[in-house]
Parts: sequence; C-alpha cells; structure tokens
Amino acid sequence: MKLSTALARLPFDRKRSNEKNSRQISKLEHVLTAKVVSTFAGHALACAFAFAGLCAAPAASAQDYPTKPIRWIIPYNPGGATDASARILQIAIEQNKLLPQPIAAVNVGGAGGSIGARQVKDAPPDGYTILIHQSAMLIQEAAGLNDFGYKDFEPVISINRQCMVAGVSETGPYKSYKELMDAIVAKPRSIVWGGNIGSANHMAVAVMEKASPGADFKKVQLGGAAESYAGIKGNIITLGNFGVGEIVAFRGGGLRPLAVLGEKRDPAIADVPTARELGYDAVFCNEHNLYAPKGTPKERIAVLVEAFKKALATETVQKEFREKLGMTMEVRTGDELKQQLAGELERLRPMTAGMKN
Amino acid sequence: MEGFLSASLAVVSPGTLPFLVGGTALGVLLGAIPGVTGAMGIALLLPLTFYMTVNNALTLMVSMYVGAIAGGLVTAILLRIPGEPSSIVTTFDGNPMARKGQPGKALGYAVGASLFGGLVSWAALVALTYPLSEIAVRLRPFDLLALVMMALVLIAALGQGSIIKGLISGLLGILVSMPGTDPSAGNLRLTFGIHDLDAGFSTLAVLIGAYAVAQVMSDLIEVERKVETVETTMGSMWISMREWKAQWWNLIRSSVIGTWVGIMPGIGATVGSLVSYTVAKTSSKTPEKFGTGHPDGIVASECGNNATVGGALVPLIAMGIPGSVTDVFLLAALVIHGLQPGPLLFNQHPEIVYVIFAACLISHFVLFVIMTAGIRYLIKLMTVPVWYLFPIILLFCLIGAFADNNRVFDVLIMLCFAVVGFCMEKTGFSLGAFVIGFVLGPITEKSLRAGLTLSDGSYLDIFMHPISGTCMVLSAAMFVWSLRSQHRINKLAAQGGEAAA
Amino acid sequence: MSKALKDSGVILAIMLASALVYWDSLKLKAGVYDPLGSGTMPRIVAVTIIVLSIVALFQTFFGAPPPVLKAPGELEEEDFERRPWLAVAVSAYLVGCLVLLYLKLPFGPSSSLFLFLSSITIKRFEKASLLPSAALSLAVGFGLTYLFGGLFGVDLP
Repeated sequence: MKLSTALARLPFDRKRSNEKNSRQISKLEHVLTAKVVSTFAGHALACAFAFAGLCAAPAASAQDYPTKPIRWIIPYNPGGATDASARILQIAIEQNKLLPQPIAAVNVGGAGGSIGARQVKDAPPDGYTILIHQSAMLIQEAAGLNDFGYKDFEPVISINRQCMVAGVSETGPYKSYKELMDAIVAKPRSIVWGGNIGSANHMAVAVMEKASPGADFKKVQLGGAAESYAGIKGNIITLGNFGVGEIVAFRGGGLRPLAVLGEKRDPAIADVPTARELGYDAVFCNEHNLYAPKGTPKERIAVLVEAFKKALATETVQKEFREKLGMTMEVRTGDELKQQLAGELERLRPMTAGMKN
Repeated sequence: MEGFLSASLAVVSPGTLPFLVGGTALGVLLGAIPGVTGAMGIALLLPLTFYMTVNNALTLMVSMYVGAIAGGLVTAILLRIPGEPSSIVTTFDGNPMARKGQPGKALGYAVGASLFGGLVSWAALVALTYPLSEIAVRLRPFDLLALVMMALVLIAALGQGSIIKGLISGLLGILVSMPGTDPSAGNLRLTFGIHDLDAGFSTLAVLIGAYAVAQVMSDLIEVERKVETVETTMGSMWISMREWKAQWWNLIRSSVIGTWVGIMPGIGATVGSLVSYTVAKTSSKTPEKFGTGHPDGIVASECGNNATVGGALVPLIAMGIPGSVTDVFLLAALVIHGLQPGPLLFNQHPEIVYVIFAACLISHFVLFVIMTAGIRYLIKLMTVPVWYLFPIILLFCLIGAFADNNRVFDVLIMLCFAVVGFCMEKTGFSLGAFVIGFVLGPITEKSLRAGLTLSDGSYLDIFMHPISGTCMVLSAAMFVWSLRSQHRINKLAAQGGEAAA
Repeated sequence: MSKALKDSGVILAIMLASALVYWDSLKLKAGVYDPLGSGTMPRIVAVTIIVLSIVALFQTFFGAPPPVLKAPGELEEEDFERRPWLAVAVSAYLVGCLVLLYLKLPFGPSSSLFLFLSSITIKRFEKASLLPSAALSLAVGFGLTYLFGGLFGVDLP
C-alpha cells in the first residue's frame, strides 16, 4: 500500500504526459482486443483456454515463443512511475513490432507491490508472465517484510533508475546539506523527517544517517512524495526525500534540493551537487527491473532481453524516461544484474534494521 | 479563471459532452427508479471509468451525481415514492400538490428550485475550495484527526436511527479498512494468514458489496411491492415570474442551508432538504399550509437537496474528506486515476479541479433541459417494472469488484460484505456511516500516529492547538447533545410526515 | 424472529468480530518509529465498538425505538408478499456463476445463465416468461461481455 500510494502521487505533468499516454494505451488496447477477439473467432474453445493460460507451454525453444500474448504484471496502481515506465516500454515494443505477440499490461496494485509480485512468483515459468518491480522488493526482503525476494525470480533486464534527493523548505534555516547534517549530528532527533516508512525515501534517509555518524532524524510517517512536500510546505516537517522527477515538479513551489544521493549529478537538476561531492558517502537510487518467474527457460529469457534491449534503445523511450519521469538508464542483464541486486541487498540490509516491527 | 474556462471548453468538447449529457440523463433515470440510488449507479460505473480519461470519468460521475438527486423528485411528487432517499421531504408537499390536480406545477417548482440550489452551491464551491485547500495544507496531523472524528460524530448524530448505532457503523468501517499492510509501518496485520488480504480489502469490493449488492438483495425481497400509480394529467410546468418572486427568500435561504449542510463532512442531501424544509416551515407565516401541497415546501426541499452537491464537493476536494456517501465513490474514482483528493490536488492538478467545477455547473443546465423536456417520457418509464434490472446490476457488481485488481478473491469479498451490509441495514446500522468510516479509516490512523510521533507520544497535544481543540470540543458537545435530545431531527421529520399524511 | 432478537444477533456478531480483531492485534508489537505501532489503533477501535455495542444492546431491549423518516402514506402499506428466499436463490446463482467462471467457462455463457435463472426465478418459473427471459439473458450476457471486454478493455475472468 505504501509504495503504491507514494508512487501513485508522483507529480509528473498529468495533463501533458498522462493523457497522451492513456490515449496511446487505449489505442493499443483496441489493437490488442481486436487480436484477442479474432483469436476467439478463429479458433475453437481450446484456444480461448490457451489464452487464459490454462494450456501447458509447449516445448521450450526460441522459435515458438511467444505464441500467445504475454501478461505483464505491474504491481502498482496506474499513475505512478512504475506504471508509466511499463506502459512506455509496452507501447515501444508494440509499435516497433519487437515481439510477434502483444504484451498485455495488468495492474495488480497493493501492499507495496507484494501482491503483484507474489502472483508472478507463483505463475507458471513459461515466459508468459513477467513483472516490473523496483528497489522496494529489495528493501522489503532486507527488512524481512516479505517471505520472498529477488532470488525467487529470474532477473531479466534493468529498465531505469532514479536517484533520491534530499529536500528542505526554501524559506527554512538550512541552506546546504552540510548545515543540515551538522545540525542533526549536534542535536539528534531535533529535526523532523517525513516520508514513507519502509520505502525508497526512508531508505534514502537511512543512507544519509549512515554517512554522517551520530545523525538521527525524528521520523514521521506521512505518506508519499506529495505528502512530504505538503508537510514541508505546511512547516510540519523539515526534511523529505524525493525522486529527481518530483524535485523538478516541486522545485518552483518552495522546495530546496540540498544534494543528490547518486553517483553523479543528474542532468535534469545539474546545479544540485551530489552528497559524495560534498564529502558524504550517501547513495541511494530506486531502480526498476524486469523479472520472470524462477525457472523460466533461458531461451525465452533471451527473447525477452533482446526485445526489451531494443525497446530501451529507441529514442522515444529514452526521451520519455528522461523528460517525463526524470529517469536515467543503465542496461544490465543476466549475471551482471544478479550481482548488482545481490550487492545492493547486502548494502541495504544493515540499514533496514527496525523497519519491521 | 482561465483554467476554468479551458476546463469548461474541455467538458463541452465533442469527446466529453456525451459523457456529460449521458451522465446527467442516466443519473436522472436511476434517481427516478425507486430502489436504485444514484450512489449505487455511480458505484456500478466506477469500473468502467478505469479505461476512460480522467476528464471523461469525472465529468460522467459528477453529472450523474447532479442528475440522480434531481431524478428522485419525479417519483416523489407523482407516486409519493422517493426515488432517492433525499427526495423524501419532497413528498410532503409535492405529492399533495399533484393530487390536487397540479402535478405540472409541482414538478415545475421542484425543477426550478433544483437548478437554483445547484447554482448557488456551485458558486460556493468555486469560492470556497481554493481558500480551504490553502488552509488545509497547513493542517497538522492532529487537526486532521480531530476533523475526521467530528465528521464521524456528525454523520452518526444527524443520520437516521440511533447515534450509538451510527457510531458503531462508522467505527466498523474504520476497522474494515485496517487489515492488510499497515500503511504506516509496512508490516502485515489482521490478515489471519490469508495472503490475498495483504493489500487489505479491495475498496471497490467493499463499497460495491455493502452498498450496491446489499441494496439489490433487499429490493429483491420486496420485488412484489406494488407501485401505487396516481392518475395524473400533466398540466403546464410553467411557473410565472411573479410566483418565483414570492419564493426568492425561500430559495436563497434553502440554498445556503443546503450548501452549508453539504460542506459539513459526512452528511448529505437528505439532511440538507430536511433542515431547509424545517426552517422554511418554522419561519413561515402560514406553517399550517406545509404538508398540504404548499409550494414553499417543495422549493425548500428540492433547493436544499440539490444545493448539497456543490457543498459536499468542497471538503472532498480541499481535504479529501467525503461530504456524503456519493462523494465516497467520487473519491474512489479519483484514487483509481492516481489522484489523491486533498489539499495538494489544487496545487498539482488544478485542471482536474476545474473539470469538476465545470462539470458541476454545466450539468445543472443540462439537467434543467432534460427535466423540462423529458419529464413526460420519464413518467411513462415509471410504470415499467424494474425487476429485470436487478440481476443485471448484480452482474455489473461482479465485474466491478473483479476489475479493480483482476482477482476473483475480491468478488468473494464483495459477496461477504453484501451479507454484512444487508444484515446491518436491516437492523438499523447506517451503511452511509460504514462506507464513510471505511474510506476515512486510513486517514484517521495515519494522522493519529503521525501526530503522536510529532508530539512525542502526548495525547494532550490534540487539545492544545486551536483547530484540533475546537473540533474535539465540538464533537464532544455534538455527541452529548444528540444523546440528550436523541433523534430530534427525525422527530421533526415524523411530525412533517404526519402533517402531510 | 422479533426485531429485538435480530438486532441483538447482529450486535453480538459485531462484538465477536471486534473481539477477534482485538485478539489478533495483540500479536503486533509497538512500533520503532511511532509510539503506537500497528496494533494499537485496531485495539482502540475494537474496544470502542464493544463498549458502544453494549450500550446498543441495552437500548435494543430497554430503549424506545427511534422514529424512522418515511414518506407519508408509506407507513402501513405492507400488503405485498416478501420473498426472502428469492434473495437467497439469486445469491446462490451468483456464487454458481462465479464457480463456472472459476472453471474457466467464458464470461458470456456463465453470465447469460445467471441472468436467465435469476429472471425466471423472479417470475416464479412462469411458462410465458421463459422465452423472453432466455432471449434477454443471452443478449445482455453477451452484450456485457462485449461491452466490458471489447470496449472497455476489462480483463474478464
């Protein structure tokens, strides 16, 4: 619930981006349903069953995959960054005909993405059910909130990432990252942080605390980025953590970004320094990755990797990720992706202590 | 202003206008059918809006809301059966007037008053929402908590039946919102080991089950109820300017009362028309005429209930607190489209707010046209038996509950809550309080916990700040008052009814 | 069953449910970040409900029944037959329809069957109503399938 609500409130320009997006989606749906309807008309009942996923997958080989639409579970509600990322990719794959069969994106929101993720985990590993998920899965695993983790899936490809930014009020007393951290180290629990406990922005403040020994913010559960922003505006909290896309959206409205918690500066807010530049080793980026159920045949994973790689390389996807969502991309697949996930999990584990009650 | 103009243009654009006109017409139709309320219709249309643009979805729902409240007046006047609960008071004077051979005139008064009340409350909506949302951004968690508690006490105190049962219903709603992932700490609770409950009860499944399915079930039991038709020869609906002039003070007073009642969180159109009617009666020089087909009674009631629509949208948009049961469904629709009603809505998506404003205004005019032009046909429809609608509505419910998350489990939840809702309704527990408690539950808990974190665990803090302190004192006073003079409003209503009978 | 008996039955059920919630929430420990944790709020609500339920129970037997807002003339006209079994039957059909869907029978036929059964039950299996009911059910059942599946893109069961 937490992450989904947080992301559902991501403030990208709905009028401009989302409506166009949804128009595209509905167009796509017409194509999709037309296909489905023709399948129903053309074949007997058995085929309809196959569509419903009842028939067992035929022998695994790259040539005969995919022979039916792929169900892509988005474990969050429409309107958030995860949903938008998936929809943009889905349209790109459809338009460039990168797969012979359509991808049907289905939102199964709730419980910070665990509901949808669990559905995919328990789905038959035939390559016809895939999942987009974000770093929340690692946090939930590290904190022990879920009884499954990324190892219960077959990581396919990394999609995009967005580094977190520490933000305070423009009219408040803290003008630099150093001032803020010095103040909190000098007097622990004197400054209030507001956000979503157990989610990406909580992880970000945990990383900040770790980089400045002795720092301890008073943490208040407010909700997603929009609530943190409202809290800063209403002077209820002092510090909040936001994604780059959110900073771009809120910046004119009284929010001052202090530092990017990334390896390097983000082109969208190039004037904001990274915490590392300022001498604090605080890095946390939220990443979207594509997963398939554990045991999905390698050949089929390869087909998916191929199609998504091409889609990620298209100009429209790059442009929309960058401009609409404030996301950057680093394509990783296979063992490289697995290693990175394992490393991130171990890095986060000590900081999630106490996230589960 | 510019934003509002462009939103108005968007609402009357060829792509959206059908939704506006269709929504209003459908609202009138459903409002006119006894046993099928507008809130239910909106609940059933919710799943359809998943795949519409936000503009179309909101236009459709707001115009249905406006249409439904007015639709109830037709059967209330002609058949003495309120099509909507909010039209009960209209039967007091509307039906006697129709029986006296002036059905056209009664309808004319009612339709005109609806338009007037709607417009006044629309003006209030536009004028108040922005300032209120500016204040609401600065509300501390405890302020919000106190406001929500006041809303719950209010709906229990002014709803029908016992205040104790009203409070139990509201609290039960809060309790039902709790299983699943705790939104504040992220851990699972109260799921009893069922993983399908990890996200809690699906909002749509609970709302549709408790509200729509339960209602259809009780309608089915009473399917043999005969509609007592009143032979009416439609006279002219024309009300002269001179006759309206005699009503001007009544119109303004009832509109203001209706708007104010609408703004109060949790109570809706029924109370709005009831209070307007009571005030009109007590301040009248000829109170004995009320209940005998007095135009003042019709005007007060219809003006009062339509004025609540605009008023009830104010707390919904500005604070995310639904002003009535119908607003609960509007809230759900907004959330489905990734929009959280609340103080930030105006900041982040002003265009959405303007679309709501525009739809609310324009649909009132569309409503007026539909009612004046189509009322004859609407009357014919009243005599058509509606029993075959019930299974279709149930099918809609099934699809709606399923479509929320594409899970069969949610359909089962819907059926369970249908049983719960049915039992509660039959034993005098208010379902309105239940669904409002259900959508307010998460806010209540979040504000309590965030507030306690901020105050380092001190509950006293809630009385120390002006807004939260005032709200707490008001809720306590209201609780004591309604315990003492229990069901005062209902008694007044009963007296009105007796006078009319 | 008398009204008081019905009322107290529902009140007792509510108390039982609240007690269950109270018992289950005892497992939840206090929070790290906030003083309450996940369990306190459910406990507060459950206890309040139980306390109020006791008052309500008391009122059921000793209090005066609250006047109910009704349209005039609606009061005594109860001269029609109530059919509680109809609601039960239609609910059963709905569950049956769900089972059919669960067995992967497509939505069109299952919903048509549901509509047909419900409508003829409402009409007390009159012969004259069989044919029109069947036609209507098929039309609406498959029409809805098209409406939702085709036009609105709902992923039907």
